[in-house]
Amino acid sequence: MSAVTASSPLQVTAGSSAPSNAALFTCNSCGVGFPTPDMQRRHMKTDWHRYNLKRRVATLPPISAEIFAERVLQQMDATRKNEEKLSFVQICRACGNKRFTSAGAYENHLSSSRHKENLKRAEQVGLRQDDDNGSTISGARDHSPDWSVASSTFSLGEPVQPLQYHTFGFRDGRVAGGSKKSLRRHKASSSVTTSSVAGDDLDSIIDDGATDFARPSIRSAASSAVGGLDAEDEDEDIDSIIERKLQSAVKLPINACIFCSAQNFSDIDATVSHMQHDHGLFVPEKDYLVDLQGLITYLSEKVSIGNACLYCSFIGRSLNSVRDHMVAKQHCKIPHDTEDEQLEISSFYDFSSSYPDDYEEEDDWDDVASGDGSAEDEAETVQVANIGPQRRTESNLVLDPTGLELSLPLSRLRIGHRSLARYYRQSLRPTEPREGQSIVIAASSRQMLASISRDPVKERLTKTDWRDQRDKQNRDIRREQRYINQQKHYRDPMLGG
Amino acid sequence: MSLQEIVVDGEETVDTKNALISLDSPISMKYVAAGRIAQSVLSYLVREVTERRMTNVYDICQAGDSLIELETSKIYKNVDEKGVAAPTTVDVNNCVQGYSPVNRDSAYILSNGDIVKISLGVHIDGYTSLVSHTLIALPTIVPNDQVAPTTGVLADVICATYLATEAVTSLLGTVLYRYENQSGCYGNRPVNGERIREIVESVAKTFQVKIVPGSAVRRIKRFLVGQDTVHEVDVKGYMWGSISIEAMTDDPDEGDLKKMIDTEAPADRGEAWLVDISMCTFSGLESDLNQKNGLQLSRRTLKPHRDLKSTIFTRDYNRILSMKLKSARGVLIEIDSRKSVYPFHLSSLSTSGAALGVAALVNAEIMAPMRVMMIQGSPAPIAARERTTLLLMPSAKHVGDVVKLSGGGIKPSWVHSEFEVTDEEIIELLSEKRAGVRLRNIQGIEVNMVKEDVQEMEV
Repeated sequence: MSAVTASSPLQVTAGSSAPSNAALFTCNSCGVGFPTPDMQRRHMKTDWHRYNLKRRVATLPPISAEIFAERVLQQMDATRKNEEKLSFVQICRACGNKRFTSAGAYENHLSSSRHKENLKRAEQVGLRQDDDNGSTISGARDHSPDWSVASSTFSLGEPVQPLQYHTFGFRDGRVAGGSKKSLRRHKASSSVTTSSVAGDDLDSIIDDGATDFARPSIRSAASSAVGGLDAEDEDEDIDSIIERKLQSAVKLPINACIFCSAQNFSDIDATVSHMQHDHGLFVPEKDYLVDLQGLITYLSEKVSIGNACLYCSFIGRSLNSVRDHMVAKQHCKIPHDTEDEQLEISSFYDFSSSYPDDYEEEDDWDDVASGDGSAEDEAETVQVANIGPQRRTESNLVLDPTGLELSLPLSRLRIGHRSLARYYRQSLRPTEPREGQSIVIAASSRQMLASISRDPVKERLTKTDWRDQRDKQNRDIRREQRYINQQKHYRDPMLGG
Repeated sequence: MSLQEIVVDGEETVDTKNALISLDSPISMKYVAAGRIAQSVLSYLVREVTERRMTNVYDICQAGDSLIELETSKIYKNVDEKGVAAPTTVDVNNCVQGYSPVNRDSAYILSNGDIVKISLGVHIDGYTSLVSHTLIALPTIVPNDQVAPTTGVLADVICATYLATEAVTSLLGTVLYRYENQSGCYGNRPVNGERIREIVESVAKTFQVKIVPGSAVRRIKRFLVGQDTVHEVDVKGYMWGSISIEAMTDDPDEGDLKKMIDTEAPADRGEAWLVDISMCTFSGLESDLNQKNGLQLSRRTLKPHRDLKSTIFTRDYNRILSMKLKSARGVLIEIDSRKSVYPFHLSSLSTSGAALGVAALVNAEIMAPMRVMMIQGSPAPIAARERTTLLLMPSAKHVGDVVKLSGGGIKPSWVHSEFEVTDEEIIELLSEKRAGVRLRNIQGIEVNMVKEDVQEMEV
């Protein structure tokens, strides 16, 4: 009698020497049996059983549990190796941030002559170097937007400071320097984490409260690539990126177009009007704009130094790339819809004049002339009152009692509710009543005979309606008479009668 | 829209469009012009009928309307609303209103001894002159002194109507005369609807005739002359019931009298008044009389003619509807653009298919028809009608005079009634002196209608 443990099933195959009196609950696709139904049910839920089912569908013979376990391990090894291979990213800073997706290619590059030349030049320029090769271990420090979002949250829990517009952590948290390709790679790396059985990563995933897969993947990818990189280096890299960007930036003067290579406009207004006409740029809230120069400078720096698209989260490799993107995608717009976007550019505006008044203006002004109430004096005081910040008094809106009309006192406009839009749009032919008609109508309308104002047409229609209703009732009554007294037995209304 | 009244300080109202200031003021001039034309056309028609040149009613009506159009088109070229205020109707015997045929062939032809009531109206810019005259169609044309006057009930009814009208005219004239002492008073009593009613009913009683519902003595204004479609308020005067069906309440004998007219308000100078009195012979049945007023016929005795359809319509401008029927729409457009607030004749519409459209419009109550109303009874009562428009005209030189816009100067038929007016006051009113009232009759001009003119107008 073979020992039957709780977990291991009894092999049941054709021609086995199992005793026939063992009451087995079998699984035919796996070829096993269980002494209790509970065990059988548990077996049915396992991966092994599922795998055997698939094999059966593919008309393959089933495999045993041990073999299955072996295969699983093999598979995991293989996938891990694959992932490692895919996630390999090396960036050679010296060669203009050249990326290498395979270790072999990277090795070859390091030994190439061009790389060595670049190294020399980099030394001259004075770039910081992390290692002898002059490249930085970026690992999964992809210059992708997702990663950069992660980097902002990664900075040891400190909130991102709202930086001034002329420095380089943009308020939307982006750090310049990425491309779309990196996004895909980054996603691949995160999937390594979720499927890996290595306890380290699992723990980090479980511990992490934020649903930021990027964060652990940075760690994991970075650690797998190099073997432990701490936070400081990451920050450092951001700064270095910023510096690099600054250095390599193309200076866009104020009289150059942000989106194209048009230059030498006479002044800032000419530049802006060129951008409006040719690229469709719309400067929002022009009335409240105080510092146009500042706004344009900020935008131009965003594009020229940060190579960032104004409208979307695209970051180009160079000024030309981001320009091409903006022109091609028609992103030559200043986003001002969400609160964050508005906050970004709000420092160039002054909305204080749109705030509602809550005090009488007149009280604040001294009487310029002695108050003898002459017209001249009144005119003077009025004139005085006009100096000073223009206050918009359109806030004194008056709503019609019906709620369908809004009166703007300043501009004497009346706004009608959209539910009546069809009537406002009506253009009836104007029927000018002639003298006689208007007099007759006026005379009649003044009548106090409102009680006798009968509408004969309506009366006639009502009468026919009543007649029809009465006839219908009569017909119904006559029809009902056939069956209305034919209830066989008592039907209690409570019980559904 | 022009308001007729201007409120001054919220209290006084100066009725600039209706107040008659003097005979040469523009408003008065228009009234006089309208009266002149009405008088001219009426005289012409009366002459034609009495001299037996016109016997077909269709001819008479067409002639009347055409002449009015012709004459009004010659004057006041800058005024666009002018012309016929009431289409010429010829009501015979027991017909009291509304007969104006559209077909010559089916029209009535006057026969001997018919009591013929010719009614018409003219307006210029809303200032209306309405007139009616009753005459007997006689077989021969002889000077009156060579033939015996008509007697009997015909004579009674004609006399009564004529005298009542005259008395009321004088009565209204006394408003001017007594103005300095007591405004609107005659014999220490105000000249208001009640007083007028007394006079008229006294005459009717004397001559043993009954007053036909629809008779009225009332103040008129520009464009407002008591059309069916206008429910006016603040009307002065007196009305003996109403012929229009709208005004009729469930009780056929009780009109909306109190609500429609103010019988207490006195007449005043500077006003225009319409005197329209119809009286009829009494068949003898008590049930035919108005229960409230024994001197008035019951409204129930007036019935529309069974066969004759209405040919005169008034647009009710208080109703604005769009019509489905194309002909109805066409007619409505024509009416709204060319017709005024007065009744018009069917033949004056130039839209094709007018008859069908008109029926639809009447159904929708956009237009009110003027039905051909007959008095029921056997023997059929004979009705007589006299209608004039008066101006109570103040004057700078004298107290003022009553201007009889039309109807004056046309002699009544040669009749003799056995009854006589006995009331002293009425006698005074009817005398030559007219209780001191100055009366001016607007004379008509010689109208010679040539056949060519008729052809032109009929196109």
